[in-house]
Amino acid sequence: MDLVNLLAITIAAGTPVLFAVLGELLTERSGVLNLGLEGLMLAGALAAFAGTWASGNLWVGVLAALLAGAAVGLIHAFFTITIGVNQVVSGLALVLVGQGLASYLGRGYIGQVLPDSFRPVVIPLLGDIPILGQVFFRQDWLVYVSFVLVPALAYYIYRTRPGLNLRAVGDSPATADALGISVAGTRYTYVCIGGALCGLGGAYMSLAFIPSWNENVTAGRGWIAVGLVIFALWNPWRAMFGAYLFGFVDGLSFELQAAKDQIIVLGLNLNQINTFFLKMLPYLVVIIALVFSHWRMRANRKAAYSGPPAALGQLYLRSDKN
Amino acid sequence: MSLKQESVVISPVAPPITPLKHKFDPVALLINGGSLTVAILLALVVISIPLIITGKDPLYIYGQMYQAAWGDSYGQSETIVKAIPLTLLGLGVAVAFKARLWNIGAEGQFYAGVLGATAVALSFPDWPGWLVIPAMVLAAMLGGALWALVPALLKSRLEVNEIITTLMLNYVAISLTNYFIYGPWKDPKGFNFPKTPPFSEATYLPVLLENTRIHFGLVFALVAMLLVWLVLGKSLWGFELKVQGESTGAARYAGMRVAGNIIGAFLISGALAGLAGMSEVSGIGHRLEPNLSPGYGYTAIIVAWLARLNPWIIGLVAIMFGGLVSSGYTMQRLGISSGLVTLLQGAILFFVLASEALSRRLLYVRALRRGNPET
Amino acid sequence: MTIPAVRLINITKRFPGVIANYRVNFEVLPGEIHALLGENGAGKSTLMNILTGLYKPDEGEIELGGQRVEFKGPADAIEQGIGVVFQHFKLVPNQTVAENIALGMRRPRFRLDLKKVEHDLTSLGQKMNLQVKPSAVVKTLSVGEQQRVEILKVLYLGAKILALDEPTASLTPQETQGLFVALRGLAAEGYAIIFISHKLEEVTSLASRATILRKGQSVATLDLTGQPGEKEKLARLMIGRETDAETSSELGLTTLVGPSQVQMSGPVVLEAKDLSVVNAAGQQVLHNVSFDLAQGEIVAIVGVAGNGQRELTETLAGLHRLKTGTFRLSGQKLDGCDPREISQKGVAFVPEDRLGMGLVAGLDLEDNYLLRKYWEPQMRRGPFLRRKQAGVDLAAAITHYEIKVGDAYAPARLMSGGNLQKLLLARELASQPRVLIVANPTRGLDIGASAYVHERLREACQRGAAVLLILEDLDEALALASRLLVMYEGRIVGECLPVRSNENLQKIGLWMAGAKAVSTVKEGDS
Repeated sequence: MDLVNLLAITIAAGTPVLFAVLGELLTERSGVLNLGLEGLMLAGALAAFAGTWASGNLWVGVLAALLAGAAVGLIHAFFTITIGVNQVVSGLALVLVGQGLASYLGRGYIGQVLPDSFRPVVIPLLGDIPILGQVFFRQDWLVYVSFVLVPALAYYIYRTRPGLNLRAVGDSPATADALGISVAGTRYTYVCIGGALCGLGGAYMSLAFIPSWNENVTAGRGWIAVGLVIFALWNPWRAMFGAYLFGFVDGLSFELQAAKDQIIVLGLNLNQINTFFLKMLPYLVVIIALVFSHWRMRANRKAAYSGPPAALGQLYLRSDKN
Repeated sequence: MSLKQESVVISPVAPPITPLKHKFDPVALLINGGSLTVAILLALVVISIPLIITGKDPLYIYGQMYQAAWGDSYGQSETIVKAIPLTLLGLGVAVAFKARLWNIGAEGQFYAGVLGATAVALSFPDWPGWLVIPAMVLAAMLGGALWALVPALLKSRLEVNEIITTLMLNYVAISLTNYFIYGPWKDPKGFNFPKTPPFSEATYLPVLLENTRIHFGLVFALVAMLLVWLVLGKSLWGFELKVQGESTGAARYAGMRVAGNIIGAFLISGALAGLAGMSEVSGIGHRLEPNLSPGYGYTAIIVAWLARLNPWIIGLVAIMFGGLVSSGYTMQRLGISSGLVTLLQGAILFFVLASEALSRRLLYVRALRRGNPET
Repeated sequence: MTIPAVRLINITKRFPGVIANYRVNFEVLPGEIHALLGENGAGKSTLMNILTGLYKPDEGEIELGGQRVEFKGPADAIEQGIGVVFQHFKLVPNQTVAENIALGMRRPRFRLDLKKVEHDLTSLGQKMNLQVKPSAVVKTLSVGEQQRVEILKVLYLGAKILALDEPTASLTPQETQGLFVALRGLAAEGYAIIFISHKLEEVTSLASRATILRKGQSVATLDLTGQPGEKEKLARLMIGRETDAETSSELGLTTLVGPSQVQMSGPVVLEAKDLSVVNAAGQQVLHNVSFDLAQGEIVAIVGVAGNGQRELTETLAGLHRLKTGTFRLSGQKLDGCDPREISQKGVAFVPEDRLGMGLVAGLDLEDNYLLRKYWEPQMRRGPFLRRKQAGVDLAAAITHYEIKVGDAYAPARLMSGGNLQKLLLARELASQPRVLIVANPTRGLDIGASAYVHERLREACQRGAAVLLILEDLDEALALASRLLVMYEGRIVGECLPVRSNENLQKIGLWMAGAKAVSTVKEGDS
């Protein structure tokens, strides 16, 4: 097992979670909590697989995943924003719907081989940089998409008018409403965009990371993404860091299981660690990361940026009369 | 000590006082009941869309599902068998939900209970039933409670989101269970299959009804219903959970120990889930194998929510969903993915939630009208 | 004749079960300050929400500069030059001043140039006498500063018609004067200003005309000339009957200070010494607060909101841990006790946050009545609640306190503010406390309900209880209290008698704004 290889796998393993975290981050910035990421990712993964399988074109699969994610997101938007259903429970229902759909509709795809899958593409010049190039620039196209997406979203959220409106809707919907910004419209938009990004994360699983179909292809990554949004403090750059942290642990446990030679760190023979304990590791890391970020949030409660969007999880109704 | 030094009558001529009564409200009942029926029907209609797309006849499938769950006495008994863990888990979840604690870790707490019970069963194969079964119950409840203690402490000390921690711990619990099944507890005579050796017969929960698998776990479930009803509905502590679930500010103002109550609610919630695990492994499995639970912990969340946390209604809804779970197995035999059942559960939850939200709004508008009689 | 900048004709707006506005007529001329006068619940806020396009009127027309208009939403109204400063500011607390102002702008469409906005704001603020730092995060600003941001925002967005909803409610007298100077300046520049208030004093000193709303209808429009008896006439129109002594003092028409109100003679009941508290964010919110409270007196703590009043009441109720200091009830130590023990010992607390702390919005009246009683011996049998007893006691409270309820088992959020406050008082007064701590008990209540609350407080006080009252409204404090304490930044900075003389008001205003002061009642107390 060599370190460069491990870091390259870190990026790949972190990317599906990164897409989902970015999606949820936008959704939550608008004030809507969507816990259904696991369902959204599964729907995206299935749509991507089916789209690619039927058309032979990977990008058709990606498009199908985006649409599927947005469509399932739309369900959540409709029930929570228009009907006023509890956002937590609606998210849980969404997971069931996504899992059910993936299992029921995806049954025929089990064991099928895709005509194509996303493979690493070496970027000229950049790919030749020692270590850095091997880690970052010998990845597949979807990874490069995520490299562009992170700075783009950071700019969008903090430096543009739609980004300002988005933050206002999530922090103080009554204010946004009084200024003529449509609260429901904004929320619908970002729940769907968020859903589409989660779908993309699912597509990465079934088209690039695995790439094949089984009905639990995401294996809890949607839930991990929900946790990492808090760790990221709703910031795209931190989201990237969190996703790669997960990717590192995931990649590490994967590498350790696959490694043939003995790996000894600090006198500890890592090969001897049981597979099942390695499988627990990413989930435990998310809990630790969460504890860490909460501890930090407590430490600087005064800072303006530190907390969640103030109206997160709350239904906004204009009918308050007084 | 008493500080009432003087007694003062607030108003000199006290008008006669009529005690308050809960008003029977037929319209509210109609709105609630009617919307629930409509919701379940709508869910069935919506789910027939993917069925039709995949070339299945929804009416035939639904008929088969009904047959599987209720068609004959065996199906009915299996439905009850599935309702036992759902009731126990649903009650556990309800205790946490009452205090607005989103414990979605029932699945993990269930497995922690299974591990506790199995450890006792495998360690003491010679113990008689009257000793080993209570020991298993105790170990299971302890296991479940410990598994819930982690998120409870993190929530009460650091306000760490319990949704994420309980969920992450589900995955950890399942991995841990698999570690034992594939590792230390693997049956040496099991031809390398992932399962533990069979338990001694002393550990079996007695069967209550001949020729069925309905076991003593049913009694656990009924007793738990009664106890949870007493605790949540009648006790001072249940009142505290209700208040702090609605508003921690008000709970502190009323001198409630909010952090302690969070831990208490989680412990009880986890212990009930652990008990469900024990009753499954000791009443049905008689040895530990992977995938003991077909997602009971998640289904139980729906059960508790649909029952609006009422312990008696949890029992009823658990029977309904027990039927759904047991028909899932039949679906698989018919070559249809059990995902259909998951999908149906999700759809029912969505539509019931929606009907609840809508009828709440209807009743709210009605109450507003009533509350302002002068206009 | 000048064309009105805005004219509302026969506006009617209904809500489920309520007619908020009925055939309201109202107009403002350019350069005019026109007051809109009415009690809480008279329909002022609804009318403003119609003017801003947030609500659509069910009937009636809106004219701007003689042209009939129809607003599809708030954006439309802003476009047409209408700007409203709400009583509860509509600002995003986590954003900076400049971001908040950019939020309302339509252009540029995509890229934000916050530097330019900050620059423009600085110059606009200087021109209009409304200075504020553009890069400051809003939640760090004082109430007065936030109000300036609100006014700047609507001006920056090009408003020609400016409506201010109860703008002086939580300002110091000096801040109020500053606001009036700025408003007169704006009127002189040709802006049309709508000044919404129920304070007659302010209306008559600032506005040139007043329209009175009562029960959703516009009952009259008067030219304000400053003649004697004008305020009384306005008051009569506003509440629809002759004013009695109670409501007159409520409206600030008379000064009700007689020797009967200053009862300092009773023994000291509550004694607070050197209280210091640090909040969860690590800020010290109380600095060595000391005071005495004697039996039978009503002591009002006044000051601008957010200067530690809330923390002080919560500390006395046992909700915060003390850093230093002690407080005693007739010599008995209370610090270190939890809220339940303090309540049991005879200190009742009516918090400011009625539906977040004092009562629970989602629970019914019985549960709410039990909230601070469920531990009492008569309410329990072992570990179980005695619901029957609770129902009987609640029924008695509903009768005695004239609480209007449709269904006692419906959630409390359906009740009006006045009824909620009565329920709170009923619960807290039921055990006949020796000390009553009450925070802003009349906020959001109409005059009738306010008078009721005052009456109950006076009654408790006559019974021998000591009342500690937190108030933001100085007029109310002057009318009700027997002694005033002024709080600023977590300290008690001044003490005086409730005398409505210019000299005294001036002094209180300076204290509220942070000037150092000493007691004028007795020497060397604080």
